[in-house]
Amino acid sequence: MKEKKERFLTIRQAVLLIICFSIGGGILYLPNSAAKVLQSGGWLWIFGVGLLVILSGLITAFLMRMFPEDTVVELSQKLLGKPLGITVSLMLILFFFSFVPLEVRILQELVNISLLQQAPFWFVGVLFLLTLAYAASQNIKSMVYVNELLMEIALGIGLAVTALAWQHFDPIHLLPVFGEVRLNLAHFREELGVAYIYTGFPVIFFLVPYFKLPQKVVKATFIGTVFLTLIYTFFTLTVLGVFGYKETLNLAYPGLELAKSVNLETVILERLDLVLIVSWISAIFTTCLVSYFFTALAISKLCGFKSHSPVAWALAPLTYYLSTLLTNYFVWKEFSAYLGLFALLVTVILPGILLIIALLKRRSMQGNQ
Amino acid sequence: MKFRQCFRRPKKLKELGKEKELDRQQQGQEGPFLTGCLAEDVKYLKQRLGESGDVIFREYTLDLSEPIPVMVVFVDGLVSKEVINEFILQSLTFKGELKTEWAKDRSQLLRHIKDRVLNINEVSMVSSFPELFTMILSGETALLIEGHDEALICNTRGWEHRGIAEPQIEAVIRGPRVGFNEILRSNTAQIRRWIRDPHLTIKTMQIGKRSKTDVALVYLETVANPKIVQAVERRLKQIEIDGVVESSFLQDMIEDKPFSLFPTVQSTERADRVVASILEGRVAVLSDNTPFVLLTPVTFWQLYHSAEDYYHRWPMAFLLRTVRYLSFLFSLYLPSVYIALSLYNPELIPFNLAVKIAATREGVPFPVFLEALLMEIAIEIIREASARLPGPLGQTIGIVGGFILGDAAVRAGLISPITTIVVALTALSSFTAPSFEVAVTMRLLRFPLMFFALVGGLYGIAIATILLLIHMSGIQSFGVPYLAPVVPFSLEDFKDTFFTVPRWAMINRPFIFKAIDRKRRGTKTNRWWQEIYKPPQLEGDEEEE
Repeated sequence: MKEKKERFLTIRQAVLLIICFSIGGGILYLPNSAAKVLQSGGWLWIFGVGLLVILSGLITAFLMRMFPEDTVVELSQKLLGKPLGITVSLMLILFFFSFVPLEVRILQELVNISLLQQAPFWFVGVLFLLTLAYAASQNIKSMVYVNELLMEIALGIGLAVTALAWQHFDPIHLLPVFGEVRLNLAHFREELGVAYIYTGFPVIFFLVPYFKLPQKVVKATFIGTVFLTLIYTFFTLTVLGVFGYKETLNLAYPGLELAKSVNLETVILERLDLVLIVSWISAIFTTCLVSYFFTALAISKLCGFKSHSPVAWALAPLTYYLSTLLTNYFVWKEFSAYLGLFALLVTVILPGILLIIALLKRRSMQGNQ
Repeated sequence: MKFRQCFRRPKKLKELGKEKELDRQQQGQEGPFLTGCLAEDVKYLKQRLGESGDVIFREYTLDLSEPIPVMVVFVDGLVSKEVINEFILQSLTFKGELKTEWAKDRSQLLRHIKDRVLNINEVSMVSSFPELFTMILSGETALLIEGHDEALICNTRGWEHRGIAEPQIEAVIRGPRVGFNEILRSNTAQIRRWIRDPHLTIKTMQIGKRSKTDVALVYLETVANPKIVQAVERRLKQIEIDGVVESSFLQDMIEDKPFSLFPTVQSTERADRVVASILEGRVAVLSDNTPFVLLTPVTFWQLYHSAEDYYHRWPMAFLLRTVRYLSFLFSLYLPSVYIALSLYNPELIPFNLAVKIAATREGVPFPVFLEALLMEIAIEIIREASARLPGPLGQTIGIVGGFILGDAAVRAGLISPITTIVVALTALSSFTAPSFEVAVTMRLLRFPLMFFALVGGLYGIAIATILLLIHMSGIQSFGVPYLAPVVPFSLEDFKDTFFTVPRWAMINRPFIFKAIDRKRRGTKTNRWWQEIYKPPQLEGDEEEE
């Protein structure tokens, strides 16, 4: 199972991994959060956060490039010593893992909204989690391939639906451009909720040992985060342009409403939002798969297991239990806000600290020599 | 040491014989060995083969200064009797000028006969009985001579066989009409006729403890990736089996994922297809007694390629492939999507269509899943029935089963017409797959998908699809990812996946097979486009005047 020595990952695959880790259920309510912060100029806010994410992504990539043989589990122990290193690893594991229950919950809601109105959680969740555990118990190569395939499908359909929605686009909805800045503490969590959905690049914490050319990790991260920023900005811009911010504020899932608004006479299917949801199941699946897989991988590395497959299966019941805790929309929205706060810590502050320590260590090493 | 050897007791003859045997065993030959006493050897041969009536022992005497008995052994029906009569028996009869020479050196008699007397193209010598048996039973003629512990093996193979006919199951509109037949040699010869390259390697081995079937590994030495060739060869050599009846026996043994529904080895009886694959850097495994050749490695998409795609002009090939991939989706998803939509999400269907469907389902006694399932099973039965019946009858069954049964069921109100359309379209779609194996896979997968649709609607189908994709991404065919070039992505190989580009643009062999020699033909630096688009100046001279 362990294919540590095999370096197969191309830039393209890494970019897709970064994108698919961040694009999940969150994007569907992203415009809602953006509108709360900057009203009609919400897309600018998204773009601004995107720039920050590109920056911190680059920092992480530079850090990881210095240790082409290590994942973060080994790297943090090298830099910080064993106890602190393990703490960092545990933090990352927790961060990666907390995506799964959240996404499962979002999926459940999506399925209930449109596909199967009365489906109980145990059915949707168990089916999904079994698939997830099966996928995560495979080796990393097939995991990457699955991601590549599913993400292309989901991204293709998603972008097509977004582009089709431009038939209702009205530039007036985007005025005034800057809106009224309401960066107050009352919306603090919402603002961070936006930040969390950007957190695709932490996946490179684990990816570097699999890169065909480890030095390309910076390029891959850059492309990935830029793509993400553009996709998110485009999407938010479209939603705000179609609905206007006031309506967006009232929509739980502006993304779905956007798909509903699209009307195609020539297509045999009456409603495009169902098509979007069906393809979005795969987007949610890839997000979960990446976080779930790397959680299992990190745990097995930390404990020195040979294979991550048993861990992947063992995590399934725990995930199921955790996702039952997030009982409704408001609960998991709150949870996602805290996750955003956590994300800020993990994706911005942590790589920064690690990079500084790594640079200092290197300098002292050079000094000794 | 040498000094010591001088004083050694001279070895007894018996010991010498034993030593010879030991030598042979070290060379990997298995005993028992021929003794050199004709009567004893023949007795042993008859003991083993004598009960079979088709093994012929022909005693013969070499008319030398003193007559020497020889024995000709062959299997009736496997040999060409003319060759034996004209070139073996006739050669062995008295030839005056040689007679004296033979008599001179009795110990070299066998060699003399081999070198000077037998005018047969392929003669070899064997000394062990197991080898001798194999040779005789594969149609060679053995010549045993008194006083020699080796037998001459003459190639006299020649048996009744089917001629080269048009392949039945992979029919094409344009393209060569030849398929393989059951004779390995004739099949390898066909490949040779296509590729006159000294680097075309045909490695032969025998597989099967009892059947000793000849199996040939055919590839281009300077093109195919040696790692793939080695992998195929290694897997073939590891096979331990009683007999190889058909090449599918080998296929089972060398497949990457034995428990998967998807074939990771392609089989074909079209010679042109095998040749094209070898030129792409793939490896062909030919087995005796079957026209079906195994091609490795294979990707999923290739199973939906027909040999014909390359013979039509590229826009037409694009159309054909699009139709085929579309019908692949139909054959897999149509019934399950129908079930999911009508059970859970009728709002997805346009209003007028939904009303139509609802109207036709009026009074149908079965729920939609059961209805579709019954129809699918009926179609499978009809398909199997028409496959088992002889040609003309099979077509009748198709018409009777499909048309009359379906029509009657609809009229009786048992089945709704929409279901009939869906199921019929599905069945038709599955016929477009050029590879029978992958068509069967889709037929099989349809049923679990229908079940998923029943339980989970579109969500179930999505989950099932994801499961399927996870499984397929994990498959490798001899190191080549099954879904390549889609994942992992390789733009160059898209030239020959969902569509084909014109032949002049196919500069590289498929990258996914990691061929050593990547270029198919000249590169772009040859300025090929200028040559292609320069019209011949037919009337140029006149105009100038």
